[in-house]
Amino acid sequence: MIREPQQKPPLFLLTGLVIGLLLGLVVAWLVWPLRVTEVGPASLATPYQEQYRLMVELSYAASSDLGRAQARLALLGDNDPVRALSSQAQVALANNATQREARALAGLAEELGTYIFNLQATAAAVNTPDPNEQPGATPIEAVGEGAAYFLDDQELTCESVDAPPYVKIFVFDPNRNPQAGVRLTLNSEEGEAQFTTGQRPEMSPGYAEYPLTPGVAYTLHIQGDQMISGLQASACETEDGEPAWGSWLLLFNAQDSQ
Amino acid sequence: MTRYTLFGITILLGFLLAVYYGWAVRPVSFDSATPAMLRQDFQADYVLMVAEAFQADNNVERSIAALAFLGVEGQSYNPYIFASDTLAFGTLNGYAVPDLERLQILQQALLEFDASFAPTPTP
Repeated sequence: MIREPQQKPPLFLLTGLVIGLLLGLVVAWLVWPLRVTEVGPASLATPYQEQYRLMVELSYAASSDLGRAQARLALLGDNDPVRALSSQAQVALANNATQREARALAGLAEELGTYIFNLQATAAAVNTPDPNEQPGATPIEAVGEGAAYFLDDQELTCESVDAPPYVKIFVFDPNRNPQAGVRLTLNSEEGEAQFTTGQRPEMSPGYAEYPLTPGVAYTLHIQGDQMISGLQASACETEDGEPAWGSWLLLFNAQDSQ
Repeated sequence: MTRYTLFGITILLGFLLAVYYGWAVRPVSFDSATPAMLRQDFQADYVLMVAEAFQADNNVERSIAALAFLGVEGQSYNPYIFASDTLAFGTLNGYAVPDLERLQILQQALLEFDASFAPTPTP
């Protein structure tokens, strides 16, 4: 019986690949490492980041521009900039030669901490609706007597917890056809906002919407006629019973001129 | 194709793969950069911070020490060049007038502190 010669696996190919990989890594990481340039402060080595953080603080002490200091600190990519400042302040405090820096760093940490806390508290107060405090579904009183349009229907829709409050307006002509290009104005303590129907034709040519700021009362004008006053974002409950901001859905019809 | 040729080709292939990995996928020391590697706008902002701090303490020596941050390790540096480069960068990139004024004040203070900081004109 003749036995066929057994085929050996080409181990030399694998050996060659491994040798090549090792040589390549030595060249890429040790002999000729890539020169990284144009990096951001977050890529700096730790001692340099500390120096950068200190400089942010010293410039803040001079300018008192907390927004600018915060933006600069954000470039360092710290998860918790206040903690990073505090830690660096503690290290500086342990050294007699850096007492001034320690005080300055601690000062900025405190200012920034207070600022962030206030910001979060304000955001929570504004963005967390409380249906108990704001029953909200109070029907809107139309005040546009003698105007070219009248409020035909109103509804507070409660879509989702994450959705911001809106006023959503549909305007129809006397024949109940959607009417595009109708000029709408919302006045409030924040100023005046002008918009027209038809900017979201996928909804309806007679549709327009505008985001409402909770706690702000608006007056709505259609084609210059005051239609509604005291329009406010209202709290509601979703189908799951979660508190949310509702959107006012308002339907206006043009008066029949005949 | 002989065994030796194949062997050489696999070495070359491995080498190329490793170099690609070492340079493009995972370059060395990306998180241990030195300030000299900072992008120009970040370097300029650092100099602006020095100028802001100088406005408060008027301490030129402290500003010069702070500007050393941007120098290359082991090499001498000219703080005046940092200030004047930043002033030029800020002018080109629409820095606010008060910031440009701060940079000008720092630049002037550096020159008054040591006139040798002034760049020598090239012949």
